[in-house]
Amino acid sequence: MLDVKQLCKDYSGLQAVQGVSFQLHPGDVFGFIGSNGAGKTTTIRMLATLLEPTSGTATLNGADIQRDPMEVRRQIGYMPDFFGLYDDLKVWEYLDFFAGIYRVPPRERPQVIDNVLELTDLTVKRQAYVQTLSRGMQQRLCLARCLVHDPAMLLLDEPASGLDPRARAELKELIAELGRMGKIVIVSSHILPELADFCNTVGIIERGELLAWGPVDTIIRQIQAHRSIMIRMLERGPEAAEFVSRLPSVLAVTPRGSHEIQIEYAGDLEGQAEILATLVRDGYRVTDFREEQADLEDVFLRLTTGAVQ
Amino acid sequence: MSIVAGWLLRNKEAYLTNASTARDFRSQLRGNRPLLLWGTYLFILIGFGTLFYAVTSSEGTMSVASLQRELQGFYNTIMNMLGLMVVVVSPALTPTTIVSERQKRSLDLIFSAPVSTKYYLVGKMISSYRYTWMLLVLSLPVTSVCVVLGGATWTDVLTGYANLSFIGIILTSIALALSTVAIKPVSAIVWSYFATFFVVMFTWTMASFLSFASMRSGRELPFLVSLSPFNQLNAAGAYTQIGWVQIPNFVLAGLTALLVSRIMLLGASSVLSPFGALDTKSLRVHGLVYMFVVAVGVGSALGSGSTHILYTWITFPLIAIVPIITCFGWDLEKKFWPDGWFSIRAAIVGTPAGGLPYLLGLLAGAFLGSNLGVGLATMDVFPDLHLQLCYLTWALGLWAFIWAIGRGCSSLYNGVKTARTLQAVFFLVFLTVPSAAVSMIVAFTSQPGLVDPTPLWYLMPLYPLGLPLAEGAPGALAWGLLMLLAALYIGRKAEHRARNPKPRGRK
Repeated sequence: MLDVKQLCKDYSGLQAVQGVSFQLHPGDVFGFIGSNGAGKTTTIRMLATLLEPTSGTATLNGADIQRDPMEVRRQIGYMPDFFGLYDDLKVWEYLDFFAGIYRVPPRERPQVIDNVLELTDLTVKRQAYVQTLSRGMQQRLCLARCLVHDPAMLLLDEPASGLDPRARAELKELIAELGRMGKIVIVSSHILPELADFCNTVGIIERGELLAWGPVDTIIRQIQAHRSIMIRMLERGPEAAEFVSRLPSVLAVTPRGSHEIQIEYAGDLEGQAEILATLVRDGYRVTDFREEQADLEDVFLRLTTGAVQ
Repeated sequence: MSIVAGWLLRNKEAYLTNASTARDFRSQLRGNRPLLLWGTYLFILIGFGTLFYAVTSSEGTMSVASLQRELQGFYNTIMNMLGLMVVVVSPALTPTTIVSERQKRSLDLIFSAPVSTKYYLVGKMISSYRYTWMLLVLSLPVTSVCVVLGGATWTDVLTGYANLSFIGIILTSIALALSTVAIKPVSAIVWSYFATFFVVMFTWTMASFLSFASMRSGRELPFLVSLSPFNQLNAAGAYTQIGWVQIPNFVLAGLTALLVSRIMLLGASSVLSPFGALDTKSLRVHGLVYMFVVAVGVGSALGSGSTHILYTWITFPLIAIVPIITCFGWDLEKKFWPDGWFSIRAAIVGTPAGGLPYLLGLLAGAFLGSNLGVGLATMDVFPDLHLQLCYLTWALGLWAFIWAIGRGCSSLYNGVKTARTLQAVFFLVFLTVPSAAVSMIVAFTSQPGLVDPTPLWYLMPLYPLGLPLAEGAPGALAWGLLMLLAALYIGRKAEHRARNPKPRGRK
């Protein structure tokens, strides 16, 4: 389990991260959302023990990032937003080097390398030089490097930046698979649709402050106090709008053209079903009735102001 | 696991199964490049040997003595060529190792793994040094010819190789340390060659001076001669008498190489390590011990006249590291954050509050060491103590003042780098430039009838031969007290500013 408590980082009086706190459990794929310069990378680097927090703590399975950094490092795989590859090495040599660094016993290394190459779909490139790989392959090689010691937590900083749609889709599937394998995965990004697909938890950070964190549905629910229902009629749209506005728990009705109305509703799911039933009972011909869900982008835009440090 | 077993395992991993060494080995030996390089190198050596043989044969008959002289000359030339190779290759291969990783940004990948800086640096050192050593070993067939023909003995050759290997270790470790602080590979290479030039010139000058002195006194050559890359013919077979024991000079040269490489590796490790790292503490302790040992060594070697104020100039090279010790700021890692003005614990932990106590510790080491050294040589411990205390006050004042300048610069700006630059500029403006001017004035006023202004110069005690000890003492005391007062004032102001920083807010 990762437990982050009041993590802060100052640079010459500039507060890059201010009291960030969250908890993650095995299997959590945590999307760390924020604009450029919001504090995502600084937080991730602190969790990777590469930066010393000004204050606050973080523990991974009981190991503190400041008091026991070596134990934390044994349990993490860190993939920064740059490759840092050694061009003059072959793919297997590169992985062998990191397996050595992570003290994987020499006898086990060939098997470990084969496994991570298979997982990242790079088996055919085993003997290729790193510099000959495409960007997507290099990204996957970086991920393979993070996996050679079977870490409990992966820190992936902007993993999909610069990838083409196919490589991006493959990477998303890979990250989701890692979550299913029981690893804690922290993925930072400012591209929201890509996170919504595979993250079960998100955190939104702006100017170093974590504005919200938790399961995606819960966060959306938090910012969306009332249900928003869209109703499409075959005819008599304005009449239906007036009729619906008189129903209980309906807070506001907004006609959208001659056939659509949008209502803000404070009731529960049963009441929602009752609205549909009443409309049909009273002879209104309904062609579409659906609750409009806010997405991560709505949440992000609602919570943040776009300010950077 | 016991402490010893853990230590053995860590050292085995660092020295024998280092992943970094294996990786560098793979890339170093890949392709035709090493083959071409080694081929050319052997071609030059063998070509030179063949040329020598051809020239010697063409001379026809010659006496055994002159042939012996020729062969010795040949051996000397070969060893000098090898010395040149070590001097050229070591600083070329090593300095880019860390800085290029930093540029590639691969250091983050390594230090997010459970890797100690020692493990990593030892790996880098081995992979850089191994190349130089391989070139040395490759030349063995050529030097063997010297033994077969009679120009040198196996002892000469093996001692020479051992000494050149030790020089290689020293130069490699210095280049590695410079690689950790350099920003660009080119600057790392330039600084490494600069440091190599300094080391070679120092050892060469010392070797020439000591060889001459030994010849006059009929004593054995001091071991320092062994560390000069161009003096291997003279250094072979020499020994140093310590008490009743004769220790071969190459053993002492090896010990020196190990000590130098150790402190260089600790320095490099300290640069790469975070706050409170064991390597930084070890570096600080090593610094104090080395200062004491060097002072004892120099004191006992020179022990005569006014050399018991050696500590005034033995400590002066510290000026190169003072900005690193004294300056503070919030822009770099925690080890540079302001944490008070005086803490003995911080002197070992390596934070800014330890700057002054550490400088004072080094000064104390130099003071006690040089007096002990002189005492050992002359059997007169702490001679002229009352005069020495005047000079000690001056030294205290000077280092406290320099410390205060660093603190003052740090308190004016939030950045450590800016503070260091300002402090360096201060050294340049107030120490180096006036020193040159004063030297010229002193030279001019040394004519009869003119007043010597030397006692008025606040760096006067750094001119040990310039003034008799007793005459300079009052000036040294006055300058010392004045600089102490200035240090107290600037240091207090700086501390006040550091505790109440001007708020900067958000961008």
